[in-house]
Amino acid sequence: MNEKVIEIENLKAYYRISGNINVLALDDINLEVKKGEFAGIAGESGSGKTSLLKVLTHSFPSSMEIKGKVVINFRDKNFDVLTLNEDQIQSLRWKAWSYVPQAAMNSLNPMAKIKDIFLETLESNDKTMNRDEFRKKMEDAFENVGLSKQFLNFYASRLSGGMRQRAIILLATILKPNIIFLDEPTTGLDLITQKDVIQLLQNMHDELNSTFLLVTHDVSVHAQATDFVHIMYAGQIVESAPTKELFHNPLHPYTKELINSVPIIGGKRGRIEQNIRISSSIANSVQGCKFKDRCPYAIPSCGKYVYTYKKGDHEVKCNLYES
Amino acid sequence: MIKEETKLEEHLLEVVNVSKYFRSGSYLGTKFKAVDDVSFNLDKGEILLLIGESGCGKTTLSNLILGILKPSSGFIKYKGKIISKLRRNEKKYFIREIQPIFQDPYSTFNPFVRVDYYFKEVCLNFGIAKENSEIDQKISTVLNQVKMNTEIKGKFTHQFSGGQLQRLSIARALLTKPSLLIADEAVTMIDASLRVGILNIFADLNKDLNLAIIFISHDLSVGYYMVELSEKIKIIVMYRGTVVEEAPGESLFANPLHPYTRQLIESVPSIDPDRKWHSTTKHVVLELEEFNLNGCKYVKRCPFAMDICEKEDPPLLSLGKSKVRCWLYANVKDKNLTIDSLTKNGK
Amino acid sequence: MRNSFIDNISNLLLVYRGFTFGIIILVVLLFLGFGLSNFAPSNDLLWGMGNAPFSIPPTFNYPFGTTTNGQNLFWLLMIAIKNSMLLGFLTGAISIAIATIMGFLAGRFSSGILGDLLNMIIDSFCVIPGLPVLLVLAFALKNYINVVMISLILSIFGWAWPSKQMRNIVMNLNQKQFIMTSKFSGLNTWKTFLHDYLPYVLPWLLIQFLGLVNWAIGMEVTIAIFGMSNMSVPTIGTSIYWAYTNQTLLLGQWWWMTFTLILTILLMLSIYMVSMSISDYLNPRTRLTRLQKSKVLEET
Repeated sequence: MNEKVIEIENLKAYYRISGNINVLALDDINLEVKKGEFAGIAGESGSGKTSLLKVLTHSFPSSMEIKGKVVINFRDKNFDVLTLNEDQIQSLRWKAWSYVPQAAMNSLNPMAKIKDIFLETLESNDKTMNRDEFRKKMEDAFENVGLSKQFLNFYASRLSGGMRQRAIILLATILKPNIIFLDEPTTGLDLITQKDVIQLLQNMHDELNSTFLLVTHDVSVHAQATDFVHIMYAGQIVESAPTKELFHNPLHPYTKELINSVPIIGGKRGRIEQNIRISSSIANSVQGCKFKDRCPYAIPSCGKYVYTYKKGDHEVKCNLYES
Repeated sequence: MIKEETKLEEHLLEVVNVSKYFRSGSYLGTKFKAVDDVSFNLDKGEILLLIGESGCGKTTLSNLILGILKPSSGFIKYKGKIISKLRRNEKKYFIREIQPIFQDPYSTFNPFVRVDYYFKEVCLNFGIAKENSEIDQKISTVLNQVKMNTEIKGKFTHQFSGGQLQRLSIARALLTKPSLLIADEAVTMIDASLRVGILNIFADLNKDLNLAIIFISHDLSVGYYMVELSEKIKIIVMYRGTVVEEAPGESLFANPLHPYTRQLIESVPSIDPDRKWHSTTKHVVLELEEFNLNGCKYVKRCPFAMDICEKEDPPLLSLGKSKVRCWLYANVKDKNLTIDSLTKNGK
Repeated sequence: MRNSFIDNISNLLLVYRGFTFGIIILVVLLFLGFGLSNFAPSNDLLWGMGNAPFSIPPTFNYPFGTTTNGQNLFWLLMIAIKNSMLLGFLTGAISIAIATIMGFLAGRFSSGILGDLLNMIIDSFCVIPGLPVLLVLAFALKNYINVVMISLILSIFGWAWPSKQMRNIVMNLNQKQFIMTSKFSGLNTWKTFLHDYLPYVLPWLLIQFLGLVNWAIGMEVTIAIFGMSNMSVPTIGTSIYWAYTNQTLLLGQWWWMTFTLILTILLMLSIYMVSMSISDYLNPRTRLTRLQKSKVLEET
């Protein structure tokens, strides 16, 4: 249970705009995900979390330059995703991993029936079963999560956004891939539907032995769904910890800011002030800690280097803990 | 709500028995009521929170108030004048008075157009300012009001973050000094950690400029925060086109009456990993079918559903300062009732 | 866009080789047609009898050879290019003007009676078979037929399909949120058209225009082959007609038909390549990426 299923070492990625002008997307990322974990990556827009997923799933644009090692473990073999060619990636898709991209619910063909969308994926990736067996498998999957199996016969456009999203998650899990990557699966959905999706993800995680990696800016979703959280800011991972530990004892000032700025029902916290934002993409070419201009606790050493503090599973990049 | 009914023209906005029908599909589609017999009033400087999930009619209602759509029945009055019957010259005045703020900050402005163009146009078209120096002054006034201190001259939308753009959207709306802002899911597309900044701006505008705001959202935690910040706040909860509960801000959270309101409150994910959800929602029917139910629209999802709920649509009942559309309260005299005490014998 | 016109043109030239190739040929043809043709001797302005020896193959004095009636084919073809291009551009301009107005109004007011009415008109014109009607008109107006008249006749049908496309684009754009913002900023229909719709509509207009140019040139050939054009005025169509009816190919006099066809292909190909490159360049998505890149460059 302690084997690593994803290991990222010194990952750097940037977009080449023209000449030698680059926009940094990922800055020296080191990440580990253990087998069977439900891991989460949190951060605001522009922090690089979507770029990270794109690198992991080999769906990055050609204008992106990447350095480092991205190793995925599948059936006891280690694959460095960056060294594979397109054919090898294609053979790994849906088996080593599946990927639910952002706004996937809007990319379903509205003119296709749900069952046809499923069959297309099933048939091209699993040559062992015939149509009837597939249909049974799909119906079971739907019933299992409390969705009526008559939805399989509906055209995609007839289902609401939330239902489509849940269908897509089922599709991503039906072939029991090793890792399931999800990019903002709850964004754009209203709260009740978000709750359904999160509960669906939790159920799927409990049933399969797959590893889940969930990327979202919404920290409450992480609190409810994940076992382990990584916080990203300006292309770097600034804090990593088991979920309960992170939310009960956040160390990095940015993590504290994230947690404190979520309004909660029943609290009597009154007004929450927010500092004037500095766009995190400007923090690209900064020496030392990238968060220092926004940090209420910055000290002089923050402008020169960044200290990494580690206590058990809890790791944080912040000079305040240097002693 | 302490105003007497006889002083009707004192309400800033009156929505009276408004319904709107649409056809789903093309010519042979079924008719459905996107908005069904909605009535409420809004006074100057008051905040109305319109809460409901997607498909509940809140966007249609906001389009009706903005004058983009005409009601199929009922009417909407702004400062005593019926909106759908305004004459041409009155419409321009009306646009000054009621301004929208849209959900997606990136599509609020044309990506090919410089952002300050919109500000300039508003000043010129509504006679707010003519000279460039005047215009610049007006622009910096509104930018201050939204706490935006970055220079906007000559910039395009992609040079700003989502949060900054949304502030610009609000600033643009403030130029004409409107009396009513309609913010349709204004923070939904902003990162969760940055929403509070925008909500603070709305609360400040309401307090400092006595600006009435209709704030539409599906997220009750946003609603709760607004209630914490403001005093004059009223909440209306909608489901499938009907108003299911109407209450002053604090009462709604202290004692939510309608089962749907409770469900909405429960669905807010807790930031505490130890507090998990208890229940799951049932989803058997499609949205569209729920619109055409004879009885209460919520009956398929309601944990307290009774026989009468399937047959007849409950009326909107008054309970003290609140109103609720639910059969559970039909024979109730005690105004301090809670849903728990009502259903103790039930499920 | 206006103040970086030079930037745009140089961008086009460097990035799109199709544009470079096309524009060079087009400029050469324009020069030949509208510049050089002015020097044509008076014998060679219309099809008829000439002073040169009959049917000589190309030589130094007669680069394209001579016609069966002793005219210098070179000058005649220069004038033919001019007239065909003139006809093409005129048809294109008139058709696009009508298409823009009709398409925009039909799209903008698509939810009302005006929109439905305009849509019906557009659809009717799309469906009516163009060629037979044009031939009948050309025959009926035989006495007045000239380049301008043919352009007008062709424009009767040329505007229909582009207009339909325009309507679709406008209807699609109506849904965009910033149209609403413009409305609530007090912008009137004309300003909205300029700032909100035009940037998205411009590439289509340009492709349609150049497509119409080629279409018009082709239609003129069709009308000429039926003998309905103004047969004494040199155009590409009339050149092909006369080359054919004088049986030049049977008699082994390849130069007339060949040079006509070479020039036609060069003309139509260059117009096609220019239109494809410009449309790709002006495509809103590529424009946006360019805009963003240039802004990032400015900031760093």
